[in-house]
Amino acid sequence: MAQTDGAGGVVGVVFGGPSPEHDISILTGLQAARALASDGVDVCCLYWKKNAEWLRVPVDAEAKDFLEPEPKGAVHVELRVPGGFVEPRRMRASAIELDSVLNCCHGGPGEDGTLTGLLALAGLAVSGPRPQASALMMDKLAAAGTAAAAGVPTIATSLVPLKGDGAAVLASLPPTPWVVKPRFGGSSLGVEAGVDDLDTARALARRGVGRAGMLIQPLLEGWRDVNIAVRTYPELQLSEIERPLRDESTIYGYHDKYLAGGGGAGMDSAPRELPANLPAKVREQILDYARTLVSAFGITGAPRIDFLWDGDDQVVLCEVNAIPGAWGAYLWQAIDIAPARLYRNLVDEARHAPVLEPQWAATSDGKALRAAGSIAAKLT
Amino acid sequence: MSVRSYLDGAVFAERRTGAGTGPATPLLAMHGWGRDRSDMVRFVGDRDALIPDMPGFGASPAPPDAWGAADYARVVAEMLEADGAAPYVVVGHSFGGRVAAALAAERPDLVAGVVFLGVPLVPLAPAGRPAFTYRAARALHRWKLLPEASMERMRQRYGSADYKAAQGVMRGVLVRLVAEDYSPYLARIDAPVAFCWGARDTTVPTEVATRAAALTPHVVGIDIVDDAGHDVMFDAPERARAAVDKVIAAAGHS
Repeated sequence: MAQTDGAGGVVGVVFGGPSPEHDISILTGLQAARALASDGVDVCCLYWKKNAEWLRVPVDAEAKDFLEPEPKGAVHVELRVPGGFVEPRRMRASAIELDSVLNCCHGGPGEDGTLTGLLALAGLAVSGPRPQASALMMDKLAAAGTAAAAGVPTIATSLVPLKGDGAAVLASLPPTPWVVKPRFGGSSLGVEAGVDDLDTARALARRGVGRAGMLIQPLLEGWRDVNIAVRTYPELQLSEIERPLRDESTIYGYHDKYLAGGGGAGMDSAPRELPANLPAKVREQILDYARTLVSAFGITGAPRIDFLWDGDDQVVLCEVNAIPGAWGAYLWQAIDIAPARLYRNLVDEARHAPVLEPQWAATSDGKALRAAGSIAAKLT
Repeated sequence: MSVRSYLDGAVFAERRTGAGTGPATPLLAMHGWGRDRSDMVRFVGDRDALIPDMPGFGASPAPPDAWGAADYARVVAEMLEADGAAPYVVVGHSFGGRVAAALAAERPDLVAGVVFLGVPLVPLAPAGRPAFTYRAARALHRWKLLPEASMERMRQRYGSADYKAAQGVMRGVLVRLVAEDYSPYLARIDAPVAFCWGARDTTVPTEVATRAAALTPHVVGIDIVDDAGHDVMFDAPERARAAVDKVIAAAGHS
């Protein structure tokens, strides 16, 4: 049986999770599992339910099976830190031996580095960006700041000012209409385009997901989305550039990404121009910015970088997606990297480059504890 | 053509200014359960309209407790007063139509006409009892003998798709709504009303439309569309728009 380039054990494919992108993550996970299995890899599908329980599900499960509370053939498993995945049994738990894990969770704790950190602390070799890089990518304000510091043009981004006199505050903001979007999160969920008054922006920032932070950006009417995927394993590579096709009077949203197109739900079937028809100078600019961002974010895995292009010669960063829909497989296929090869490379990278490096050995040698004296004495 | 906050952020709605000329009654277009305003934005097109995310959906925060249609109608009425363009022709799809019925009956000053699109307005048959296993689990949970996690598994197994998907207070809202009967409201609607239904609507069968129409005083049209399902405004947008036009005409506006 053909295996990945390492020890040749079982690859765990994790998907789902407590996130608004739960369903799309299931599609990404099932696609990856099926591609790896068809390529001869031993695959164990691990489904993270919305309530954070874990199930082991059959590799040949279909999307519709997840409409039920538990897909047919599912077995409850637990994630132990440390220890990894185990199947609880009456007498003692049975470990699920995994060689590596392909994380296919989109949005929420599955994509923001939380799950990556947990899996790594559990002792598993997990694919994708490091936890710190994932958190940075999912924080749109921090991501814009990082990109700007690296010299990549970004959209002017401000936090929605919750206090202050309206007229004075407005003077500090870009002219309306605005895009008002959650600081954290993905897939354009919770994004409102065309907001033209501060009261509405403030009201959006006071409810639900907005409470964690809401951003204001100018609405760049007529600008087009252009996306590219990047990876650094086995070597630095940039995918083909795509231009998603959608109603350009509004933003590129969840419906355009995942529900449009004739090939069924999922990002791979959304309408797009691939390769994007771009002037050579713009194309070079995008490639150059993408290479810069690889360094700025310390990219591992295969994130997708979304830019906006004005149709002439200006390109600005929109956002970086730590775990893009379908892992951007359609972008890599356009340069003859088949999905199975992409997924194999991701788990190979996970084995070769752990996402968590031990950082405490030199300073956690007990000296500080021995010198500390009593805690009560420190409080007086 | 942008979202606006109404009632200090209790409701977010899109206010569209119609591209047409001449006098026009604005529409109030309310979406179905589990959806958001984008459904009605798509349907309404370039008409003069107010299109809210109903509380608990889209950008609008969930209600503070388990509201029924009358509670929703009260908040929608406050939003209409703030918008200041009354009267409106009210278009309601499914859950939005429940609210439309309550609004039209309780606040005739705000409503020039109503279009119901696949709305569960009247109960067809008494609901069957839940499965014995579920009833037993519910009793055990009530007596604190079954933990919440186990009860949730039972809800997931026996609940409807909408119930499974609903979270927090919205589950209570759903439970309350499905028990409501809008017959008393229908009889009190003093404005032209049209019904547009998909013949293939399995969520709200066409029999609901005919029975509801029989209870409504000023019916100007019942259109059952052969090749349409529950989302009749997408399956047959021209027919649904024709129902809207018919109500606008009957309301005395062009």
